[in-house]
Amino acid sequence: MWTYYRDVTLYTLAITLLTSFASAAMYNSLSARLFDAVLIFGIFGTGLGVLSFNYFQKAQYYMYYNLGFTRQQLITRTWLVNLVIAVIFIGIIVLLR
Amino acid sequence: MKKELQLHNVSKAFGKKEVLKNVSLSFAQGEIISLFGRNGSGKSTLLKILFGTLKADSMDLRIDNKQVHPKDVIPKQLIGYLPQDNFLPKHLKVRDVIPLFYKNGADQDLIFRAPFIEKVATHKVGTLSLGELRYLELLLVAHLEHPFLLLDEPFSMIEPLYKEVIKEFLLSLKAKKGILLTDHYYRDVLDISDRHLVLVDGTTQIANDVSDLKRLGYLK
Repeated sequence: MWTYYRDVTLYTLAITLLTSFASAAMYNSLSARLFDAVLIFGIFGTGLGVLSFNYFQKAQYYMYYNLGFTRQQLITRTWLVNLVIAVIFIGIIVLLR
Repeated sequence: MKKELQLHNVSKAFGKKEVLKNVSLSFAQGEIISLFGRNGSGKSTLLKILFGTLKADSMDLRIDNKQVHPKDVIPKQLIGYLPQDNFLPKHLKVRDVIPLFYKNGADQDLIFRAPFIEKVATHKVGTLSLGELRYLELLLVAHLEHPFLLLDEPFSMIEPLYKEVIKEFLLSLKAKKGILLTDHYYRDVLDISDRHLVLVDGTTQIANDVSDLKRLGYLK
């Protein structure tokens, strides 16, 4: 499970960073940019990370299936963990503003 | 008590092409059955349906006469499956992959001490030969606790030395598992299986020997 989480989240982080760099000019403050980056990471990023995993490492699902994890369980748990991380970071950003 | 898996009336069509037509089969722990068929005959489709990763148009799966929903096969770890495609993470070392499958040290040792594994333990999965990789995948899946095991081409790309080790290993597994095996290396499959089925035009036919495989159009 941890291996799946790590692989998907690496894609998620890469997508979040790319999006953040690509849209840098739209922001006039670092905290607003960070806030949106964390939102993307927590809400859409995991979905895009899962799509990337499906594209590049799809066959690996059979390892998890044999270990008793369904695709739905893997995706839900990964998304929930990243959502919790995003909420914590958003809280920190709001407090520091 | 030995468990028995029964599959009844599996049908599956892709568009207008009916790949499986009311296929039924059964096998029990302590038994290896082989499934032959020409390319595209539906062997892998049938295995994926049994494993629950492909939805059938109709099917009735039972273990010891109790109906099993296909969605329960994976979470309840009722059936193990070695797919045709390699599935281990290529960036990990063999010694790091084994603990993903087995938390218990004694179980890990069982894999580490298997023939050929010790010498590749420090290698990355992506650098293993196809034979080494296939053998490692088989060991990892087969030692899990599933009472039934589906093997899709376990002998594919395997060198003769590994083949003999795999055959011995599968025969040793028979005591605790029911195994359904499909592979085009028919002599190796015939060597170790107790019963043989051939998928012809979407239905299963019983074969007893090579002459039956010829009669059913699998061999010339």
